[in-house]
Amino acid sequence: MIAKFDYHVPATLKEACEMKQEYGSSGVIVAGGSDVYAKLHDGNHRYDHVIDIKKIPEMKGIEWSEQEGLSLGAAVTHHEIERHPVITERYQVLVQGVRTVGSLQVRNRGTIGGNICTAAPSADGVGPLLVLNSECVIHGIGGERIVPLAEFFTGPKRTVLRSDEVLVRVRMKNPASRYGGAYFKYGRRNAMEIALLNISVYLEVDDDNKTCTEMRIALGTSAPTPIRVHKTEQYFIGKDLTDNEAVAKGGDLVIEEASPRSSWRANSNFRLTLLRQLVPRTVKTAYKSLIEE
Amino acid sequence: MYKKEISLTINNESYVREVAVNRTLLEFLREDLGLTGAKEGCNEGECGACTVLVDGKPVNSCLMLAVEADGSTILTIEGLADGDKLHPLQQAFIDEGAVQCGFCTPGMIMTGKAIIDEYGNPSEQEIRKLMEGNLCRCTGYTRVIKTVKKTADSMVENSDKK
Ligand SMILES: Cc1cc2nc3c(=O)[nH]c(=O)nc-3n(C[C@H](O)[C@H](O)[C@H](O)COP(=O)(O)OP(=O)(O)OC[C@H]3O[C@@H](n4cnc5c(N)ncnc54)[C@H](O)[C@@H]3O)c2cc1C
Ligand code: FES
Ligand code: FES
Repeated sequence: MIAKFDYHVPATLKEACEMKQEYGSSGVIVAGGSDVYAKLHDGNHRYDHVIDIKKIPEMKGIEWSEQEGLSLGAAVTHHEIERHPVITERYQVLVQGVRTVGSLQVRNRGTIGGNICTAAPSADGVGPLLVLNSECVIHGIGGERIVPLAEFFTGPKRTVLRSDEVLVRVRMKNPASRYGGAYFKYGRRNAMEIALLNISVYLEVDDDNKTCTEMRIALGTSAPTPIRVHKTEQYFIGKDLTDNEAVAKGGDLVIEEASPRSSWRANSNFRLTLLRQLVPRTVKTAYKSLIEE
Repeated sequence: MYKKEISLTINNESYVREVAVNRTLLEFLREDLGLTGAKEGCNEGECGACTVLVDGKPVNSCLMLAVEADGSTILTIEGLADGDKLHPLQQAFIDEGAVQCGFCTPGMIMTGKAIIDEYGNPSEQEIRKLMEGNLCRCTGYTRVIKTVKKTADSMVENSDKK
């Protein structure tokens, strides 16, 4: 049984921010509840106040346009994303990521905002959003601010959100009309697995179909927060992506930028070994997806 | 508020009830309404034994509050048969021997039904992926997946004939 709490359903952003501020650490924001309620069931956690933000209009819905790109309400579920016609067509790397979250049941409740705000280094929705250069729309009592997703995380389970702030939307420009994207989740089994490591790649090539003009790589569970590896990305610019040796060298560079920790799931050296092998492989998969289009 | 009045439709019947806000949908169904088809396996979203359909979507009822279901339409295994006539998927689970102890079966069938409703006739591989949130400790998965696939095939065939 979940310990007794008081349940609040703010109808507006303003109310939600005021409640979050007022209840402080005795309160918790809930969207899909797949993290929060699972945690409350274990008996070691309790809150006096649950603030359910799902009913707030700004938190809902998927908006897309050719000019503005994509905007996801924080309370949009993983399943809404994986079934959305424009997202499945133009944002395949995001679909590849969110499809691996938990199970269909979890994806029907779990939200993209919850995935981000939990700030787990393993979050499957976050890497794809990082390589799509997403930004977060944050609302507080004083108003709105925009923070790039790459600056949102400050540590494991820690974010830039202040005591009165909630995430409202995450948005991104349309990717190039031709790009290669790939998401790779490494786990010990196929089903219901938290990633031991994950890699997201977004790349573009020149008219010759092989010279890299844009490379974005995000890693999960490879540092205290999900990260982009800018030096490795830079290395790829101008490289021939059909040159296996050049691509493999990206794997040697990436481990300089990663700082995975040892946990009961895997030790740090094993994660580095994986990264060296799997980053080049994921780059190749992304490249193949572009060429075979 | 610690208690709240909710109104919802469960298996085609309307209910108006006052519930404690910390009650999960699973506890509400099993303990308050006596609908014990959905099972509690893990209480943390891993096993899928508690799967019910909320507005047609399969969810883990252990990870949802009863108050969150206010205003929605819920289908549990108890409401799947049409009078005495079992749903094709229920019948197929019996015919194909996709049941042993039966603990996972209500969840398996509810997820299977939702998948057929949403995806029409998914491939075996798709079914495998979509049912990854339903664990079974005895029958294994081969028969379950095959049974869902077979039922989807025959339901599509029957609707083509109509
Ligand atoms: C069985 C199971 C399997 C899982 N498997 C995976 C997996 O494979 N990959 C993966 O990435 N995750 C997994 N998860 C974790 C979880 O389902 C996801 O992270 C999900 O996206 C969380 O979303 P939610 O809406 O349910 O979050 P909630 O539980 O509602 O909230 C999560 C956290 O974010 C905060 N929060 C939520 N929304 C906001 C907001 N708008 N503004 C500010 N704070 C907010 C909450 O306060 C809380 O701290 C799994 C969970 C379960 C139970
Ligand atoms: S009891 Fe709900 S998923 Fe196991
Ligand atoms: S039949 Fe026993 S758990 Fe599946």
